Amino acid sequence: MYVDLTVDFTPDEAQGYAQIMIIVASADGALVKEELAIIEGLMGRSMMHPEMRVDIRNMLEDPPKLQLVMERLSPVALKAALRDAILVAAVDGEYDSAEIKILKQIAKAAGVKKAELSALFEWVKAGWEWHKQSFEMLGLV
Amino acid sequence: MLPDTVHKLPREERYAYARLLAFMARVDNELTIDEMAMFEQRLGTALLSPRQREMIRSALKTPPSLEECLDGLGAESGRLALRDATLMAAADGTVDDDERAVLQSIAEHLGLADNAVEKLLDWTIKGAMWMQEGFDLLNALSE
Repeated sequence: MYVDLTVDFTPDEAQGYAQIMIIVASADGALVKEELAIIEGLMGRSMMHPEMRVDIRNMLEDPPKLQLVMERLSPVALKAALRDAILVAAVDGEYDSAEIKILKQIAKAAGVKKAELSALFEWVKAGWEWHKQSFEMLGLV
Repeated sequence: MLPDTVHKLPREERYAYARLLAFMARVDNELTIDEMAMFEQRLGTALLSPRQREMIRSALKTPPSLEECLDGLGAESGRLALRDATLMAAADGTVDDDERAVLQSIAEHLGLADNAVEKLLDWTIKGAMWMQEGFDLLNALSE
């Protein structure tokens, strides 16, 4: 039940998808460990080849240009990237204005409407709440 | 793939955490693509080094004993490992009796309440519903 559509991406799409995560994580200038952890988790979930993951890690210092990456992605890959890019942007606790700007650019390229983008933000918020419950349940807060 | 604390654990405990997940993946003697995706996701989130990941992947072929896995876990890492072992167990859509028994053993080892596993299974179902909502949202996005 956890197989995501990212598993079916072509290698080029998988690379572009991960590059978008890098671009969003780097947007506010500070790359925190939480962002690294979520990007590694998303690359793991998409079962990206270990060598490709190394290439992606090497881009952390110098991310590619968003427009060039988006042009390579299919509409489905772009929408999945948008969904997961919101998770990456949220992971350090707040959305930075630079992150929001990039997310809006991705949404525009993917043809996602404002209300749909808001629904994706709400979905991320609901996921946070769900995840937080596990810490409460385990006495880890 | 959500904000977590696994990456903040000491390196040895993150390794022990991952070993427990490898053990869990093999309890029912099947390794489905769902389990593998969940396993790889958790290895990534734990920020294990590529070398540690290779060692852990080989632990999938020859899993350690449950006792060995539990030995390396502390109070926090043990609880997070139980939570994520529950996600692993449910990843293929069903939690069989063997998997449930292992989860219960881990919970007992950690001194958790009798209903801890049931609560975690309920939580896992909620998570699956949340993920499904994410797919549904993507499917409904404008063409």
